[in-house]
Amino acid sequence: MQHKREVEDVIEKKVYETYYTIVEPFKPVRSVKGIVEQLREKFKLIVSEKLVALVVSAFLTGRPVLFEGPPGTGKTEVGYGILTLWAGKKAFILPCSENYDEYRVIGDFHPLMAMKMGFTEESFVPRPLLAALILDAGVLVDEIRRSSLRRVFKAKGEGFQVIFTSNPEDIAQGELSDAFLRRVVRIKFTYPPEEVEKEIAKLRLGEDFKMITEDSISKVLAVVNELRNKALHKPGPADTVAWTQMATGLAKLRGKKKADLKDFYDAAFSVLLKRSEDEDLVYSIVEKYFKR
Amino acid sequence: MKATSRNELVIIEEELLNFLTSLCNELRGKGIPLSISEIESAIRVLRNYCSLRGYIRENGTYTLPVIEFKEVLKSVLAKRAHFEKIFEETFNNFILRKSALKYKIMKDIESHLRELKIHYGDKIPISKMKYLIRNPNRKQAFCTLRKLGIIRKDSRRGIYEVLSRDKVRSIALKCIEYNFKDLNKIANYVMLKNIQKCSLRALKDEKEFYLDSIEDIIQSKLNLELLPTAKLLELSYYASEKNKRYISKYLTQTLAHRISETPMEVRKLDENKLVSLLKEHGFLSSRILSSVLNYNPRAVDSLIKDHKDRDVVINSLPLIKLESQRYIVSKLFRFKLSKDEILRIISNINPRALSVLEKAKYVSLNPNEQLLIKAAAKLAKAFEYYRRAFLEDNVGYYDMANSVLEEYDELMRQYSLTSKQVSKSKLEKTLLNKIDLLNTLLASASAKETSALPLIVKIYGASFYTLRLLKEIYETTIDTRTKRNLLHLASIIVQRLKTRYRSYALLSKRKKTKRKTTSIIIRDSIYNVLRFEEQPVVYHTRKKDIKVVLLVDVSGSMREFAEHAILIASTFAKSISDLIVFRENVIHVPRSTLRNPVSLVEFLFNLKFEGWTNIALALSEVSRRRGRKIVVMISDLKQTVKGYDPLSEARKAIRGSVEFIVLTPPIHDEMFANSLKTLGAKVYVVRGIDDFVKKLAYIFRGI
Ligand SMILES: Nc1ncnc2c1ncn2[C@@H]1O[C@H](COP(=O)(O)OP(=O)(O)O)[C@@H](O)[C@H]1O
Ligand SMILES: [Mg+2]
Repeated sequence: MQHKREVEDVIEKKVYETYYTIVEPFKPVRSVKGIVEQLREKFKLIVSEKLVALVVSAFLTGRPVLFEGPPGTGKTEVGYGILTLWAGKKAFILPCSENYDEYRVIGDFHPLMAMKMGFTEESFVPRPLLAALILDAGVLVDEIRRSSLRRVFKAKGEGFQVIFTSNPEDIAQGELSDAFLRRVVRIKFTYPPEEVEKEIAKLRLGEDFKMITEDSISKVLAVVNELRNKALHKPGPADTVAWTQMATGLAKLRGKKKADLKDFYDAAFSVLLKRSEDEDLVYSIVEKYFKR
Repeated sequence: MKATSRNELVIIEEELLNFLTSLCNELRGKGIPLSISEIESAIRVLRNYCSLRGYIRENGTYTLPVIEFKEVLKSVLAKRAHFEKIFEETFNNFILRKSALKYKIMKDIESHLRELKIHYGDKIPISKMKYLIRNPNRKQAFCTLRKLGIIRKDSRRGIYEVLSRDKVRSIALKCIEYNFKDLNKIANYVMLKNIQKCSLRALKDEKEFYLDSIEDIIQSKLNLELLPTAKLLELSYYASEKNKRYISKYLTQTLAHRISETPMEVRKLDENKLVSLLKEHGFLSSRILSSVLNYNPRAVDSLIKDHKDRDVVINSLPLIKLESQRYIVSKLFRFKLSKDEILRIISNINPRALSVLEKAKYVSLNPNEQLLIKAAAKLAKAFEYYRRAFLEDNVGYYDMANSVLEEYDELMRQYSLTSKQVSKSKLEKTLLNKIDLLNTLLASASAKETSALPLIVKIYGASFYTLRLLKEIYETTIDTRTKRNLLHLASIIVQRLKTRYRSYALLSKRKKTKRKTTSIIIRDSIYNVLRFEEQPVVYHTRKKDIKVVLLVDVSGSMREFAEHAILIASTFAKSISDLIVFRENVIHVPRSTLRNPVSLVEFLFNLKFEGWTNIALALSEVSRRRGRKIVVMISDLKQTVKGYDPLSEARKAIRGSVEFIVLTPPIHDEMFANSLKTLGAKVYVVRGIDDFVKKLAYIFRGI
């Protein structure tokens, strides 16, 4: 195994010390079918073979991947899942924000140690990106538009791959530069078709899914779809899952075997109401389907 | 690349490159920035994708669903949300074109053959076919096939021949490239190209067929740009003979448009046919006529009998060059002209053209006017002798000049005796004016009396018009000393004009903006921090300010604008990095020329305003200049040199400049102007020359 090799380089050594146990290495999964299966089993994600094949072909071409789409469509989790399976190590996630710059990502100097020893390798603190490079693990740069990072990183090993996620509709986010876009392969995430979304809920809820009738799940999807067309906050599959989970939870508390209209009604607002402008709309739509 | 079942594509790797290059070309044309590296990426990602999905067949062929093909390409070629739709459309178009279209074309061809009850490879006697196509549906089918070249006429053997299946198939393949969905339209397009290439002879031999075809071509709204001018004329003429007025009119209109853009074409045309058609359809404006007459003065012959036509001729005179003017004037005067007509002719022509009026008839004039016109003619003639004497270094001509001058003096003496009592008529005044001018010309041409030059300035003032006049003299005179004097005189006028331009600029207020850069002056900033200044950070300001690249169209129609533009450029030489004047070629005017009034005038005086326009070439010059720049283009936006793509050059130029401004006269190519606007250029249509001068001066003021 790699970590048993004699590590000479001080920084490499540090990386192995700090990060190796965290990545929990296992045997990489490199086939498209294998990845799709494992995503379903280990990560409870439903992803099409086409998408995985495209991501993998980008990896093989040496291009980073950009996932773009509305919130809650699974970009972050899918990215993390694929990277993890591909490298056989848990991927690093860099959640982005304005002040997330190259130092935070690659590494910087420990101030106290630097005072004592100067700016040497000893006082250098490696950060996730450098760690991922050295450990040959994947990196997920989440919400790239929120960061001041605009670089595309070159891969060294097979396992080191980069996936960026971004939500183009988020007005708080910056534009991506032409130079950045030129290098990536962009994959668009959209809301899944109804059957798939139902499937997702089923997978996520596990046994609890039996507590939901065919009728109520179609109503849930109808509400969600209507909101996607009309509301400012558009619910993603993440919200569908959360809503159904909460409804079944409530039903259990209330000692019922099946979640009924009231459970769904009560659970709806905490999940769907994210912006005050949507209030009337959400009420009227939910009432249309779930008020007795 | 072909479609197997409904949703699958078979791709051969070699074709893929072609496919992607042309797809990317089209995408680029629609504003998606793509480079070779993206095409390369696309191919590599696609190859990996197909191998992962098991879509690769033996010998480098892929078979994959169209949708997946599209999604993979999209992930590499359309990475911004607003590019996706463009990509989607273009891609679908391509696929449709490639597969469905060929299928449809073959089907349509075969159904036409069935309609006619004929088969591949058949030979049918002409007479039999004539009988067959009396039915309108069959006639339609026959025409389409014939236009496509699938049915060919063999007059020698008296038959029509249908091509073999293989040949038809290869025709169908070519048709795909034309990008029309309808076989009829394709046939018309093929026919249009055929007419473009065929000989005039063939056109004559098959009048009927070509005429029918052109009718269809017009109805299908194809652009007739491809058609050579001579063929436009012939077809229009046949149409008129056959009483197809609408067709004839349409063709003549196209012809008129063509002539006004590229008058040189007139040389190749039969002037009688041309004039009669223009007249018949009411396109004989003085502007068009001047283009015609400039290059083919004989066309006037059929226009002098009718007084309305004569009117148009007379109005077109100022735009006609000297040689043609002479011919036309002499023709006109063979006719009995009214006094008013004579007045207008005289005031519209170059005084030198008066030389042809020595023996003309002018019964409608009073004796005084007759005297004067004769005198003017003599003077003009004397000038010509002088010129020839000088040019050919032949003393004989001097003698002739002098004897004609004596006749002139005598006539003027008579005139001064008789004209004292009565007040002068309008015609007399005009003639005296011309005589003045001729005298000045004579004086400068003979080089003995250059002191006459400042006189012009006195008479006409230091105006733009005077500059024109001086240019005229400059062109006619041969003596180098006079030329030098002229340049000096003109440069003085230019100085005055510049003051005027500057005053225009001062009328408008526009603040200069300081341009910040991102680099910080560290020392100053630290000082400021220590002093607790409110805004401590000091940036470097850009030393080199933005400069203007000025593009000036010097084709005939743009003359006045161009002359002013060049003068204004010299007024604001400091803000100009490049002055480029263009016609079919581009001339880069050195800055030293702009700064030195004498060399400026010399440049201006030697500049010819005629010929074709190549905007694309001019724009490509802009893209070659590095650095931050504002581009100002002055043009009517008509690209008359074919085979260039001004729009794509414009895109490059606009992208490479901070600001792109176009000033254009009211009559300009609106389509091109609109495209420029959508590309981000500012397009101003000027109302007239004054408006133009003000706007341009204003632009420089702000820089
Ligand atoms: N394809 C999918 N398979 C399974 N769950 C999904 C899928 N898409 C979305 N989800 C739901 O959404 C959540 C993930 O959302 P997330 O990855 O944070 O989305 P994003 O990053 O696009 O905002 C999951 O926890 C799950 O409930
Ligand atoms: Mg996310």
